Amino acid sequence: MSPSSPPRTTRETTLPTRTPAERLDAAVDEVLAGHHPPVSPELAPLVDAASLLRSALPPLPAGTRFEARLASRLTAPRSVAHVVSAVSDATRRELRHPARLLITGALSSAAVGLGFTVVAIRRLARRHAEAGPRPAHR
Amino acid sequence: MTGPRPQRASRAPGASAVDPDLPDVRAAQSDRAAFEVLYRRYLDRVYGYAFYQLSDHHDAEDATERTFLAALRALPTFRDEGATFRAWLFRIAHNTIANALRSRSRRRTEPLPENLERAAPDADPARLVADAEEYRRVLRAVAELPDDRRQVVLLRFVDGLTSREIGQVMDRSEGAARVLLHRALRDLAETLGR
Repeated sequence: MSPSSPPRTTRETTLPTRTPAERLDAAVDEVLAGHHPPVSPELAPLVDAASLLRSALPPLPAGTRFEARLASRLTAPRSVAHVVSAVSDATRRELRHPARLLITGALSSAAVGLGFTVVAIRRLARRHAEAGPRPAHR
Repeated sequence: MTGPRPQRASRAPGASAVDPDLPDVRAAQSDRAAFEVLYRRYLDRVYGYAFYQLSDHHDAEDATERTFLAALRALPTFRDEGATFRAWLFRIAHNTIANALRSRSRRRTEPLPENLERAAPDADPARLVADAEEYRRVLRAVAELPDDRRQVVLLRFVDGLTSREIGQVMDRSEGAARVLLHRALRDLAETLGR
């Protein structure tokens, strides 16, 4: 395709044939910038509605207390949210594999059982040690 | 038509170079504390987006909090690949709010001026609303819009997103977002007698 071929003309003619949605979008940009752009009669009521929306939908500032509270949560090194997230991720990962869940459950039960046994043995040993110095009964 | 959609064609690698948040995003990706800059910049907008949909101060705060915590968690995965940071952030907000609306057992309430006054207890009400009657009328009209059209109106007029960014938030093409905006404004013009 040579540079002097028709495409340049085609490009020029496509600009005015933008769809109504595209023209309205450009007009809304103007409205949001605080202008009232001149538009065709069929788009005028829509641009009026856009102007109304701009003034009737103000930005809503969040409360300062909320802002400060959330800021401290976000900037805290290793926030609670991260811990909760890590635990929930781990739980989700475990639940995805039933076999792993069974093994984890069995190991946890064994660990609890072992813990109780150790505590019982230590208490028994301590009791024996306390009873040691007594004279033997004849 | 089977040709490439305009949005795909325009989403060239250089497109995101105009993202003004990118330097702050890079800083926050390497230093978590730097996220505060982005947080301060977008807090009000995310809160406003949530409040206009949830119509409840506490629900809006909850959704805002979830949005920023999720954004902070996912920030390392943000890539400069077409979508701007704010489109990415509002997509998180969009999904968070959609979940909140879904999990609500009660019917969604219509946003009313008294709710707006409670929106920011320490903010100046005069700054928030100039004409309560007109505000009520417009909010009612916005609330009556179909969900996708209402989303477009809020993202465009409350949060100042472009049609392209709205498309990214709503998982639509830029052209589809423009058409939704056109239909929404047409509906509003009819309802408001413009």
